[in-house]
Amino acid sequence: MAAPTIARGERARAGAGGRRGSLRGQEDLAGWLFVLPATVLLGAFLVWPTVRSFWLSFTDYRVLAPDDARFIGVANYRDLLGDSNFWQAVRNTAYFAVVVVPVQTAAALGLALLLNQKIPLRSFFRTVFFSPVVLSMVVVAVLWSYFYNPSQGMFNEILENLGLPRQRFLTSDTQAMPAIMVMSVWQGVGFQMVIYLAGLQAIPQYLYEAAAVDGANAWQRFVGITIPQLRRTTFFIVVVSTILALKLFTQVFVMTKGGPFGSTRTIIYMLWEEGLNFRNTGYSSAMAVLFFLLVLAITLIQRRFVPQDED
Amino acid sequence: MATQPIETLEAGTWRRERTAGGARHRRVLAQLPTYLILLLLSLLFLFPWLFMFASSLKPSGRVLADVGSALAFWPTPFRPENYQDVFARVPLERYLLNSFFVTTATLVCGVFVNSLAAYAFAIMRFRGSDILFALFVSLLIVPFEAIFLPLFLTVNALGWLNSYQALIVPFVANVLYIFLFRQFFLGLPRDLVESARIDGASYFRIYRTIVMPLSVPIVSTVAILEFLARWNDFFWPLITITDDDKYTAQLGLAFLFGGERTQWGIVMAGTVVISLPLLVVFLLFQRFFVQSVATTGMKN
Repeated sequence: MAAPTIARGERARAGAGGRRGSLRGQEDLAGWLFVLPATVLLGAFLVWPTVRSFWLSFTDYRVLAPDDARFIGVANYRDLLGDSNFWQAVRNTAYFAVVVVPVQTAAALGLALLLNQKIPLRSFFRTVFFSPVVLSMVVVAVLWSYFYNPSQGMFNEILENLGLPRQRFLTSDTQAMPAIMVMSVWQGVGFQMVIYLAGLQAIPQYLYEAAAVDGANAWQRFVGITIPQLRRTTFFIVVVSTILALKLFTQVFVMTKGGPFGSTRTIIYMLWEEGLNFRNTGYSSAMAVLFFLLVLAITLIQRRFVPQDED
Repeated sequence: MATQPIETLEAGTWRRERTAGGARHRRVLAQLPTYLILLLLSLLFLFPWLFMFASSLKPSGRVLADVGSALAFWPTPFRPENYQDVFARVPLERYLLNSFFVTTATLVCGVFVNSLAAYAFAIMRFRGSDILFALFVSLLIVPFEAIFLPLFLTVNALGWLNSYQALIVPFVANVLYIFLFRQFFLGLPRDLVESARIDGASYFRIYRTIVMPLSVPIVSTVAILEFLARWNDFFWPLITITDDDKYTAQLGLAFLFGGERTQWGIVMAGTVVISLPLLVVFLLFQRFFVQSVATTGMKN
């Protein structure tokens, strides 16, 4: 990737002949000038907070008394690992990710396959399936709170009309998380569908033609061609939606506030609670660092598995 | 049937076309199950939209009374006054203006700052560029949620709590957008830049008059991604903004919902109002929208 750029620079320099040195200096200066705004902003608002997050996690920093902060070693981490609330949050977050990621990915692939046919109104359906992505999570959560309302909500009315028992949904500690999962899949599936559609369209048609000549049936072609060809796309979708799932917050904040009985409290919700509500910055930072390491691990695993054939 | 790849259908229809005259009818017939599935799915994806629009136009009491029937999706009795009421209940116009300002400012500054950096990385050759770019790329994995606390402390130390700066400045520079811009610039024809250099044009002039005018697709992509992210952001404004005057639309709605759980008609009018800008942008620039999502997917 860098090779043609070098060649280009060299040629421009060679053309300039004797003023080579000053041109080189000019290009250095101009280049740094152009990346300066982005570098300064990223340094101040991304690099510095990242470094500080690590540092804070080893202190007893509190927002209300910042000057009293002391270095306390790994005490925050030790407390965290012994905190049953934290482990509940980890379990809840993992539960959400383990269910939502495969379901959403499979649903997205299903929708993409349906729309990858030459049928009239194709773009209409694509628009419809994608449309919830445009809604903010706050709006979605507000709407679905209404559908899930146990006494007057739409879903219970539908259940009753069908002669089925009413459910407690968000007010039940066993149903609240599944209710949030269903809603989250509904909101996000269109995003993955569009990525899958792009992936499907990149599969060379001759592969299918050759397989058809060899007498492969539709299922064999799906398993033998479509799935392997979509490997890169699938890995990307799985990693991105896993990371998104681990960040679960807004739905919980709007719909359940972590309840009932902490059954929907997630890592990020607890981070927010501890860090800003309870003002326990050091403790919260330790959680943030663990969260960062988790995301890092997932990203590295992805690097290992995704074939680096392009780019 | 549902998961049949496209050419199975085509091969099937082609065979039939050879043998029978009413081929078109049979083809439609063959696709009927697919259509049925698509229509049912469409209902699943559309009902919250329909419900939102219908409920926003009827009295709050009717919203609750209608849940059990199809009337839930029809605005009778018609009550457009919900829209007046929601603006009377909370200063929604103020919230919308705040959101609009913050989103636009971040977007405009972001497109400039990120494209300029990407231009330097893609087109120019300066000492340290490789290391700096590698550093930038490595920052892609830092999740915002893991750094929001120290970021909050920084913003607090700058005296920016309850200010627009807090919602704009930290989000201007974005590693993903720099990466996307760079990829696009690398694909531009090289002769353009080279010949302009030989003609004595400065690098900034080339950026302004040659590169950027050719970059409409990537600018739209980044602009759309940024608009979606900023307009719908909830977490960060929730943390940095406590002053009612500076609330974004999303914050305003969350608190309207928290306080007025029973006033469903009014809450729904609020949700329609804050969703409308994005819906309009989406319907107008649909092609770009879908493309931008696909781009982020393919480039990673």
